Amino acid sequence: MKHMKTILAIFIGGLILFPLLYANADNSAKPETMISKKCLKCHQGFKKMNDTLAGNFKSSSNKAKTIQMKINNGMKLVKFTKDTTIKNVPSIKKLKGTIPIRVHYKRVGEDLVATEIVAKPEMKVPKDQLIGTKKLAKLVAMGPEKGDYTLVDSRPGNLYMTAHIPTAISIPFPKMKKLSAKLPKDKNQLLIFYCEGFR
Amino acid sequence: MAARLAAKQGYTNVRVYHAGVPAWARAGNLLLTTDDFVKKRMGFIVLIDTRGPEAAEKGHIQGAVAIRLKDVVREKNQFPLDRRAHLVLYSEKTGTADLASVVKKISSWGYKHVFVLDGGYEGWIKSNGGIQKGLVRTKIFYIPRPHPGEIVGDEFMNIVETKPADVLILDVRTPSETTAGVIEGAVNIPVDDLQGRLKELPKDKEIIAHCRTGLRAEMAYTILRNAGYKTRFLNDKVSVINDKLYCCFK
Repeated sequence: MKHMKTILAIFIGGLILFPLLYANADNSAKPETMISKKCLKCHQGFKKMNDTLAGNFKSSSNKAKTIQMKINNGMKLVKFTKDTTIKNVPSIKKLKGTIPIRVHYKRVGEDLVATEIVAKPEMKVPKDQLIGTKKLAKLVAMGPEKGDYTLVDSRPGNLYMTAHIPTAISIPFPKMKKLSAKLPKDKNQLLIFYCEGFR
Repeated sequence: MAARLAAKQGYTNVRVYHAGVPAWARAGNLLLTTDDFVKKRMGFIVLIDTRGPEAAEKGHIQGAVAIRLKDVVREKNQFPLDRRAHLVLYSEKTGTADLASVVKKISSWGYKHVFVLDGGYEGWIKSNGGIQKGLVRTKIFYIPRPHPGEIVGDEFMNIVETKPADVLILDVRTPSETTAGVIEGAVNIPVDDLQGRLKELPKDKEIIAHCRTGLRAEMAYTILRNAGYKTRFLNDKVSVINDKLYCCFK
């Protein structure tokens, strides 16, 4: 009977300890991936990548060889070296504004060092769908009635609030489906979309 | 993306203004801002009442400076040094036509955020915005909006002079930048090495980071904050020449 108790104790102890030990071992080697909620809206696959950060570019310092990025409400710092590759912009210096970026990194001591920085690629739009600044300015000067158009600002609402092209209405892209009642009833009317622009 | 979605919904005449807002502004075209933006940024924008001082004395948007539209361009040297300052012009109504040329001129001086208030003063009153009557300012006055964690230059200088025991100044410049000296009492750890040398910093003091421009100081601020330190940073230009401090320029 006493024997049984000991075996049981070891067994139960093992049951408790084993996952703990395992989890600890797992944690130290666990790849750390942080993807902002905004990115996840369209890129669920980013979660499965190892050692990846995705969010918005904030600033970079060539002296400190570091870039700073915003992920949700926190900031992350990642170092870069001459071996860091960069995609969709010619160089790290050309990262501007708050452009979305994805960073693959390795851990070196306490630091995160980028192996690859991927800027969000430019959207490809068929040429016959594009409208230029001059043509749009002419329409805007006429106004939506005389010019017979609807101009839609697809950026987040706070950017519309800060500044927008005259005569535009705000339909942030994620709300397109819900707010499509704001779109013209006449499906043949000229409908123009704009956002923060490509680089 | 939005255009594709619209095409799917049956719209036949869809276009994309791919160059977007920055190109629109660069070409000298006018951008409209809203009452909500002016309310949110109140105090940290330059708000110009282009109806001039006489009309403005009868009532103007809180914090506005009154300069007649035809005089705005002449007051160039009154404009803030910081080209990223937000400048908002308004008249009685939206009146975009008469403001357009002035906005274009101001933009050509390098200002990146020059807007016209949609709806003008009338719209502002309709949206229950705050107004002032009587005396109105006629000289431009600009305070930049502080970043989170930023310390203002005056307070920084005060700390440099009085050296409070519960504050530590952290200089995050590189060795080549610190040959001419560091601020008395400051600790120098290049931002590059900071993550690995956190243990050298006390947790019971507030740590104020500075560099040469403010950029790396902000990075240091991020590292320290993420590591649980009480910290702020100086977002100004600093140089130390022959152990003498030249500080706090934007």
